[in-house]
Amino acid sequence: MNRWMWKSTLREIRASLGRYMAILAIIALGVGFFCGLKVVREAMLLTGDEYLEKQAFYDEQLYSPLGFSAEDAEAIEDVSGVVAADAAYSEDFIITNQEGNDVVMKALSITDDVNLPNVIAGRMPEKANECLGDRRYFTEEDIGSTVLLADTNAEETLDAFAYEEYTVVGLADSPLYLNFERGSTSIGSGQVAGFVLISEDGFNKERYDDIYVRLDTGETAYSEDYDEAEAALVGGVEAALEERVDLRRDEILKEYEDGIEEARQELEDGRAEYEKGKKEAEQELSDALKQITDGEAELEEARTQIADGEAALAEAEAQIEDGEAAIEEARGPLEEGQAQLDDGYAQLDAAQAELDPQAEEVRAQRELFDQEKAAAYEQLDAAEAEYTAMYEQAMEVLKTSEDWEERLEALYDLVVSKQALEEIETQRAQADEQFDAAEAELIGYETQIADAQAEIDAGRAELDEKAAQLAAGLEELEAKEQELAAGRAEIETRRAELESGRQELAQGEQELADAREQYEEGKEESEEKLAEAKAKLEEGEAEFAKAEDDYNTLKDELTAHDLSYVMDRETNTGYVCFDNDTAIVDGIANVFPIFFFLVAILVCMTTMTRMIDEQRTQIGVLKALGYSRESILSKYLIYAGSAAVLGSVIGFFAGSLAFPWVIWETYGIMYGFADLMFVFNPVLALISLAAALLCSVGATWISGRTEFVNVPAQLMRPKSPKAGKRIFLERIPWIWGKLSFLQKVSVRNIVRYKKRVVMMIMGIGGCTALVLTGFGIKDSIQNIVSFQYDEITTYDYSVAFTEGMDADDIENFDQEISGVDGRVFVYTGTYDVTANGSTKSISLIGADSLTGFVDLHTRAGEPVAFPRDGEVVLTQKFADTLGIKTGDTATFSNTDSGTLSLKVSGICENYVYSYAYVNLDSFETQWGEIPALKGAFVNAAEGQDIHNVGANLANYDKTISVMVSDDMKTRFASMLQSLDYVVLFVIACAGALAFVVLYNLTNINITERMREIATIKVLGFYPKECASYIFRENYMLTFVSGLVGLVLGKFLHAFVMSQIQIDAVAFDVRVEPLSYLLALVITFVFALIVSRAMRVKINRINMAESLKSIE
Amino acid sequence: MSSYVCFQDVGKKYVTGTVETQALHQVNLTIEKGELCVIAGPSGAGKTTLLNILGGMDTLTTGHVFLDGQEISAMNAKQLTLYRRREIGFVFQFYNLVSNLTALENVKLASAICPNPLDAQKVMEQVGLGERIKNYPSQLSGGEQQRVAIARAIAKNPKLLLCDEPTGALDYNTGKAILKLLQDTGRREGMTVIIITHNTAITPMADRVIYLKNGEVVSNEINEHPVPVETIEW
Repeated sequence: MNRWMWKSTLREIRASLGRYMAILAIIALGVGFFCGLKVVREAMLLTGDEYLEKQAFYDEQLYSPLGFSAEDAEAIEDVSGVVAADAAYSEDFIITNQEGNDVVMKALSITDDVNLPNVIAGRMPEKANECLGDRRYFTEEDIGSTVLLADTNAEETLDAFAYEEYTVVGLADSPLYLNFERGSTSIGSGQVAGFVLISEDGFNKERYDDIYVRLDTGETAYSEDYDEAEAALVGGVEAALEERVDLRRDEILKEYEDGIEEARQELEDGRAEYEKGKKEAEQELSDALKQITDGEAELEEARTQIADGEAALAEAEAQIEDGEAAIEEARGPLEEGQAQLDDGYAQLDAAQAELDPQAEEVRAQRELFDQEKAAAYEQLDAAEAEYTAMYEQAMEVLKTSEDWEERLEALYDLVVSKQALEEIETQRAQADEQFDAAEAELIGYETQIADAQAEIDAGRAELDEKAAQLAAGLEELEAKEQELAAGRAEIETRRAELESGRQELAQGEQELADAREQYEEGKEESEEKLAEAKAKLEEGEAEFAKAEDDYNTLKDELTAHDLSYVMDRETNTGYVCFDNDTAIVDGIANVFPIFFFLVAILVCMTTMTRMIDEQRTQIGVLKALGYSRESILSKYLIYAGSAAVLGSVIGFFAGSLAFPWVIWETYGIMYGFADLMFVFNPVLALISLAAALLCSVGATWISGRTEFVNVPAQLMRPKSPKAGKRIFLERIPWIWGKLSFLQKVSVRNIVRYKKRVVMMIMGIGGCTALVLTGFGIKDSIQNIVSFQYDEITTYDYSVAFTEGMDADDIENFDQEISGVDGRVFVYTGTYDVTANGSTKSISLIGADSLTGFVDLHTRAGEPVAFPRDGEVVLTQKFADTLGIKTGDTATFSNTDSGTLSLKVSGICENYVYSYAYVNLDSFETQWGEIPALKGAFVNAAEGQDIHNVGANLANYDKTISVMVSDDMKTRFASMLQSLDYVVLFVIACAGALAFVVLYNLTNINITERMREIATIKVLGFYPKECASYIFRENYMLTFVSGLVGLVLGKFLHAFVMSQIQIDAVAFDVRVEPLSYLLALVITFVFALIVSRAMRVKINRINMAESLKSIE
Repeated sequence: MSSYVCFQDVGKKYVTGTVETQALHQVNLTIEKGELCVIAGPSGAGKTTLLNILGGMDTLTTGHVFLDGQEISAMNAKQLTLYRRREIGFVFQFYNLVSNLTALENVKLASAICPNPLDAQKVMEQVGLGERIKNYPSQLSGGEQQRVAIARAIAKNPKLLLCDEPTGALDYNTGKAILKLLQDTGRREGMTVIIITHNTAITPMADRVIYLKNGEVVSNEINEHPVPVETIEW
């Protein structure tokens, strides 16, 4: 390989860029398809794992019907290998949505270490009455609104919450719900519409519902390593859980036992109390009786006493009356004496009156005399005092004074005063004499009066003495009277006493009578009470016996049933669905790329064969020049190989980016919890590169090998044209004869190059098959909604009621709801069916008949009879999945309701969900009663607005929810619409494939037949005729390939559909005739597009080409 | 101007990249109807260019070309196609038969697009291949293939039969036979036949001989006494 060869190779590439690009493109397509599809699962799983890791998705969910305490979680956390264990609450509740329908929401508590919510708008709740809303149910406009617990919720549901309403503060997705499914519930419509995440304080429950455990697996989700690591660690958790649950069970049993013991004690106490009370009551009664008899004796005694008292009183009264008579007698003489006395006093009083004025006169004379006498002496005394003073003074002066004048004057005074004094003495003696005479007279008068007075006083004294004697007599009499009065008063007192005694007696008698009555009453009452107490006691005994029974039942139950459940991630719907859905893509990835690689091999082979053919002269020359075979071959190997390497690189990256992206976007409707993580898998890169090199280089080597065995001379001569041959079709004149001449030419040409035909059929057929598959997926899916809702479940509404509808309710319903054409009340329940080793749950619908509401028929359209007593009709997919056939017996079990054993009488067509239809008679036969009919199917009357009638139904007071079939239809239709993208994508891929193949083939055709085309141009073919000379072959081949592709597509479609499994939906695996037509048409459109592009090339062919010598 | 074929000051220049090649300079020539004309000259003299222009396969740079009063040089691509289709029969040096069509089919390929073709079967008989019509080209010898090619050309009943070195790939005797076929056919059908060759030895058979050299007409002579091909030796 020298420089010249390199140059020649590069020039070759530049000169035949179209051909080079064709190889590159098909390799890129093949590699892109292979790597892209293969990597989708990995990329999705990586994205899933990353998300689950980030949100700390649980490894084990622990559940026990007994509930959990925080200590349980702590104990689990201590198990080795456990990273975190959080206890969580969960509670389903009903809210009324904006349309007024009741929908069920699931409230979950936010845990700190496990299942972290991924807040995509708003914020985390900070208060206990705030919540995060499910981002698939709530929109950003809902942030700030409240979730209000509907009144229709059961009491215990309302009790489980701390508040009546919660404010939505953010939107989140939860790793617990990877896809759109929110699961089912036992309340309301049975379908959970979304979740809300509330802090623990927002709940008001005693015990936690679940414990979520994170294990230290250290492995990526969905890997086998994870499964192994999980299996290795789960044992410890299981053991710990069992221990905790056993503890709890014992605790419960102990509590029960204690309760029973207490009850027993209480019962015994009650019994003793009863006995005691009975005795006491009897004692009390006998005491009361004794008191009554005592009272009677006392009363008798009192009665005697009263009679005695009365006799004594009568005696006393007689005595008093005698005393009174005696007093009256004594009173006469006393009164006489009194009268005499009164006369005597009167005489005395008259004498006195005579005396008193005389005495008064005497007394007045005396007074006057005393006054005159006193005044006279006073005058004398005063004059005596004056002259005595004068005398003494004069004497003094005489004695002391030497002054003769003075002594003279004093002497004078002395004489005067001596004279005056002597005269006064004289006067005094005279006055004494006068006064003494007057006084003697006066004293005579006074003695006379005093004598008269003494006489009177003596008379009065005598009278007084007599009066005193009289008074004493009277006093005595009065004392006696007083005594009598006192005796009478006493008698009165006694009588009063006696009266009160009598009254007391009467009262006592009354009291006694009352007491007796009371006693009788009391006796009756206490007897009654005793009887009552006895009855209660007996009741208590019965209750106790029942409690004991209950305890035994509970104990049996707690021992017999599993109480601890360890559920790994495989029980999480979202987690499993994600795994399954990614596996679908993987399944498809195993088929599709094979096409592309096969076509790639063929493209490389034909292209390189053609190239080597074209250049055989050159090869011959090179060989003649002495180049080795390998060195010449290497040019072509490099040509093909470099295209393969480049194509691989481009395809690898483009595929690894585009495919996961497109599929992720499509799946975004179901998942879309995070942005996709792109994966570039080196192993895939190597595999695809190897395959690409094998395709290109291998094909080149094979085509080159045959040429290179020739000697140079042979190579340099033109290759003898391939002999024309009669083809098979020519032997069928009635076809051959009908073809125009030019058509015959084309048919011949087609058959001439087998390799190309195979490539064409592979490529174009593959394209048609892909397009058909795409449309087929659409057909299989788009019809199921209309089949389901237009042909199978033809009812307009499915209504759920709060309670069973009995005859009265139904009558009431019929009266209240207008616009309804027909209705049937049904029993609905979810049951598990186990067959051939797997268990699936199914919606069981019990009714008398469903004619007009559900049309039971097989997929072939034959009617299926409504099941009779003991029979069941199952829907197709369910029966297929479990491998149940008509005539088999299936057991339906539900832990709450019971078990039904039914013979499968038919299998009916159904697409959405799974149903088992059962006759109500079967319930009666097997359960002895018909369960509550809490559901109904309803049809709207002709011409009624579907949603108006729906609102009527929703407003009915017993309605929980109304499901409008039309809405369901729309909902499903829009959900399935996402698959349109898949269809588009498949068609786009098919187009690319078709384009590369057609381009390459046409390119080969044209270059190979350049001379032929030039010749016919010279012959005067119009450009159009020239083009169709070539393209007619393409169209014919396209047609044939298309037909082959249609067959192939049918199988491919069936295969792809078998790979797509969605639990809720069964597909109607079918391809519409229109799709066949469309697949063909689209394939032709691709062919036409390629023809258009290649026509330019034909037009460019120079006619002079035809004159050149053959190389 | 009354000549059947008339070249007036025809010049043709090829431009390939920066290299200019003057294939024809001021070529003036006339050929009358019914003539068998041989255009001879060495390699590179412009014979094929001249033929291409006359055959409507190539355009000229300057001058005018007329056939039977129509100006070919003024035709657009579509008219040229029609012209080739109706007026021209072409015989190639390497026959250019379609290899997976039988001999008859190759003839029909041409006659299928003509308004008034000759009967293909008859034409085949005329070229002496009445027995071989169902054979594929690969089953025929070179001479036979060239006969098929001639049959294909004349079946269109053209005004002009253009032959580019019809014997170039054939041995002497076969070549002679082919030339004879052309001469006979021309005579019989009254067809104007133009043969291009570098072999001047065959000029005696022509009614008119034109020599070209370096893109110029060296001579244009009428041969008053053309001889049958059989008598010519080279």
